[in-house]
Amino acid sequence: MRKKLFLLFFMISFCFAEIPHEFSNICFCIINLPFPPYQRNVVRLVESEDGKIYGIVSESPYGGGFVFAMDEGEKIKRISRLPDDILQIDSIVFNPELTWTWDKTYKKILVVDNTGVLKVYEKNSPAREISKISGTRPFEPQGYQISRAFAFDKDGNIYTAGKDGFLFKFDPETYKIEKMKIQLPAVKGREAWASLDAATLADDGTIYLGTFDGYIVQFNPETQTIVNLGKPLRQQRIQSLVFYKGVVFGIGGEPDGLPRWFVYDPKTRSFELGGTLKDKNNKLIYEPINTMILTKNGQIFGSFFGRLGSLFKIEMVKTK
Amino acid sequence: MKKFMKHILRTLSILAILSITVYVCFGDTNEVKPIYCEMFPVPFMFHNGSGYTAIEVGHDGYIYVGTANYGSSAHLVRFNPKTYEWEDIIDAHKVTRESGKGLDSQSKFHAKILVDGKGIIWAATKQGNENFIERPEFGENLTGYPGGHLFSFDPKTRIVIDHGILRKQEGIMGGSIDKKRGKIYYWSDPKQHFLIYDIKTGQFRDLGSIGGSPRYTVIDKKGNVFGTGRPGILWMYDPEADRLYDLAVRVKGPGQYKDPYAMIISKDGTKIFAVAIGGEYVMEFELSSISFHDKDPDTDGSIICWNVAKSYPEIAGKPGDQHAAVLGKDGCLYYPNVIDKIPYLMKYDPRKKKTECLGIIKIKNNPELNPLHAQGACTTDDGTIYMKFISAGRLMPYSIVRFNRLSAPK
Repeated sequence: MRKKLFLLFFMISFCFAEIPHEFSNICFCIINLPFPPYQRNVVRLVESEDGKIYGIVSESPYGGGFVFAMDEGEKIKRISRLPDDILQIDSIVFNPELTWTWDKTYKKILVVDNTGVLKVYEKNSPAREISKISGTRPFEPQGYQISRAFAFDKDGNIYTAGKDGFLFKFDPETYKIEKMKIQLPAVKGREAWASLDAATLADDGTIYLGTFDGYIVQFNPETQTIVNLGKPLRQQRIQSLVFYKGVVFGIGGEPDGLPRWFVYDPKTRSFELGGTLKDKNNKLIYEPINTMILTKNGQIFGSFFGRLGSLFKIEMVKTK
Repeated sequence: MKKFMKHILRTLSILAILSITVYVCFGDTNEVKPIYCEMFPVPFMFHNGSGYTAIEVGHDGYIYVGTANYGSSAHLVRFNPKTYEWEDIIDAHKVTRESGKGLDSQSKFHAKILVDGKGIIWAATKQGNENFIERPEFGENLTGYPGGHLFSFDPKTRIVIDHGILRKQEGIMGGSIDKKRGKIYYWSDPKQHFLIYDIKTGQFRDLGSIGGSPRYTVIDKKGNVFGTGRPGILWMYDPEADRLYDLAVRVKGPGQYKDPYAMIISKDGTKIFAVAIGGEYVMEFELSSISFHDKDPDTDGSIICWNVAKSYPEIAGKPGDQHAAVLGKDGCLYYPNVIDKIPYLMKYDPRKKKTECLGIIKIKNNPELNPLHAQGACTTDDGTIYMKFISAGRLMPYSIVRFNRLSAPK
């Protein structure tokens, strides 16, 4: 009898044991936005100094062209302007065609326009043209090689990629721009598609970059060296990257395909592939990711693309 | 003893005869009688036993049917109601020159067949054998489903045109046509995008996700398009504003709201009649009740839906499977309702706000067959109703059935 009980206990323990796997348990929580669907499709999230989260809904066929604020209770309210300490130039922030970012002070806006020219905007000042950084893509009519992301280092320098995937470093204080000798990885002949689509800054100052063709790159801004970590997915596009609890959490995939997530652990130098995304109701998510941010209190918020693209929150549970 | 036994047997026999006589004369008056239809099986070489909402009558009087041929090429065929002959119109792979297998094949004409003002037939393909979790076209494989094609067939010239893929890697699931504006509205699967095709210009637009999977979409007299969206929501496309709206459904009458499966616009274009799978009631959406003031936090407005009448026969006592519906020439809604594997044909009369069971669907000269799964239906000018039933093994071949002049106005 004792033997039988021991065997039963052993079998039950075995069934309920956790699989010893890093990041094998990711909970995906969708926040239902309390405003109409045509106002969804948030393209940018920003956290102000006081910890409040603001979202920008750019102009689109579904509507848009406004800002919202999310309070601590994740209640969302439509507002007309960002707070005074964050520069808002409507013609830029609501234009979905432009690649733009704030500098670390939020007083300047950097733009790569649709002809590949880097410009800087300040409050009540005309645009200051810095340099044309992009080339064109062969076989694509008027197809400039426009990166869709900027990367920041710890000192506030801003990076993006231009013609043939070469990185540019820009100091927003001095307006100095430098074309670096670093080129994003590409299969021979696809250099014109080696654009920067996503980036995140790790705690140790390393920057992780994601490219149009789906490569993940480790970039050390001090030594000005890169390591090509390869393609975690058998697809193009890295949609968004966030450095979280010592790992790089990323979502990628073709815009017409399904988004898939992955984690890169710098300690083990390995990728873990998570597969497709599902919401908390186990419904498959079909649309790509517009943006993700890691807040100061350690939460990841993001937004899906499309007419019904809602905000989401990711709760990652690290199991041992 | 023998005498006693004989007496008992005689008494029992008399009682049995009496019981039968009483039952026949005064028995269960609620018993549902059969309603007979003629069956026309779709030739086997065009399908593998299945099909969906793709059925419509053309201006030429032919019944156009889209088949499903899982893992292979779907066909658009037509049936001549006079000669009872079938004719192959479109072999999807032959016309598109595609050769996809399994998940990658153009294996369904799923969406409703549409007929424009000139009598041209419009049909669109969809993928079969759905596996949306690991779809090859979405990165698991170098091949994949290319996307559903839009075809037109002109019965006068017999010319078939492939208008191309409407949305990359997406199948076409359902649609409606606005003959006045010359616009075809489809929605794609699995991403549920609302697609607009302009017949005059050949231009195509994608208005984004509708958030639901409505097999049926309807158009009202103003040209507004409706379908089921997210749970509890009816979406509306307004062609004047060129915008999609999400309307929260406000239920009136008894019972709860159940998202409809089959939806039909009323004869005067002011109401939508609908039934849901397992739905207890026939629903009427009151289009005049659309409000953009009364709305939920995540909708643009609201619409009132009346649960007007029980959708099932009283004798069945419970709701069933309602996959197809059609508007009769008399303005009534006709739909099959399958309860405990019995296919009842139901009629909803909007003037009386009542449903009526017309009988258990039976095949003329083949009473042993059991047409269980109707997927689509259409009505001809004389009120004849055609329904498309998928295969139920030996119990039913993949067929269209005909109810002669069933909905003819009296």
